[in-house]
Amino acid sequence: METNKESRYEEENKLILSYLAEQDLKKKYAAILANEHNVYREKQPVIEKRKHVSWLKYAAAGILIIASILVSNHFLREVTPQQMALENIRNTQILGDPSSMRKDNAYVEQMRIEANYAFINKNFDESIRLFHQIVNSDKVDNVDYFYLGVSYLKGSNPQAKAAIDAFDKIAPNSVVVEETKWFMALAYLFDGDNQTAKTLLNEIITAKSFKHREATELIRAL
Amino acid sequence: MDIKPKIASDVIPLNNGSPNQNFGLRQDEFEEMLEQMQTGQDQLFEHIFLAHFDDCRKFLSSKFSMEYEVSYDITMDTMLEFRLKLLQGKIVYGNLRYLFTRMASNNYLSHMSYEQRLKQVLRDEEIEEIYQEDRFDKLTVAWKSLDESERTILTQYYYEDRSLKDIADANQVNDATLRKKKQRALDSLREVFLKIYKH
Repeated sequence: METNKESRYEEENKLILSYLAEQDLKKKYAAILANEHNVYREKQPVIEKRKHVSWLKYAAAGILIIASILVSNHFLREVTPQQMALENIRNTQILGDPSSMRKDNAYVEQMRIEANYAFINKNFDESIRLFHQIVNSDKVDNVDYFYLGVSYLKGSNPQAKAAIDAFDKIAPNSVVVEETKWFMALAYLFDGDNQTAKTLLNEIITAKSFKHREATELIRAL
Repeated sequence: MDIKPKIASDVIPLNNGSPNQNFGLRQDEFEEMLEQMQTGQDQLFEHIFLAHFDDCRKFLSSKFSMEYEVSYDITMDTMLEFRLKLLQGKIVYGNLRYLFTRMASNNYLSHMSYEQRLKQVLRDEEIEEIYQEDRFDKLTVAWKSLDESERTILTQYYYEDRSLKDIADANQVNDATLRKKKQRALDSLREVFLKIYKH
């Protein structure tokens, strides 16, 4: 009787844990697919190709594009490192995710859930306010600093120094260490410290870590 | 004794394994990937399979004329199932792509039959609600309350079906310590879940 109860308890555990582990993996893979392969769960709008356009038109369009790039490179001001940083900050998709909860503090966890809602809904002023309160509570999680830093960067008025301060507090063995390095590099770039940004970008490229392709492009452009 | 045949060799004859049939993997790379996965390193698996994700999704989408999001979900589910079977040693090198698409087709058929069953008891809008992910469901919050090492132990034990001894060896701790840690993690998960649930 007791053995039956135990085995049912273990079966239930197995079901629950399998579900949770799969959810974790799905979130992780979805983030990699979105960031590294541009594959999203929501279908992206596609510009329909016109079928009966002759190769001559393509060639003409190509020549025009090359000419306009040459002209614009010559006459127009080049894209600044700050603009490049900003573009990359906006293009890097980070999924909101409630991080490790403190077992004895449901209040902080509630705040963390609200902060994540604000982050997902791109209400970065609110997510900064809430994550700031969370990191001021004791025994805070590394991931809170990460979301705080990213919120500083993704807001309408990016605050690179505040973001760097937040990222600096993240432990080197954190689960978000690769993502942090990428955003840290962008923060330095945005702040005008190109040398530190380059060092971090080179580290990303060498380790082939998160966003290494984008890091390579940025290094080339700098 | 009833010995269950390995999946790949069960359904298709083994061959030399052309790269395309095997997601670009040679046999030695496949073996290396399995070895890495056994030690908890999934990077090579993720690198290979996520790179082929969209191709597989498109194939399913055209084969079954399914909606974009359904093809995404089915491919994702299949990838998880494939990973688990690899970890359990149930897949051998051969024609991995064929095996993957066959599993995906089966998943799609199961999905269809599940949806049919749902339609018998629920309205369309209720089904839609079920499909919408509840990112902040209470169980997920409780799960996140565990620290990473606790989550890893529970995942490896319950989801990946690894023995406690195997996990203990990999973590260089003794069986008894690991057993206690596993139990503490389980108790904590249930306790936090109930605390939030009653709140």
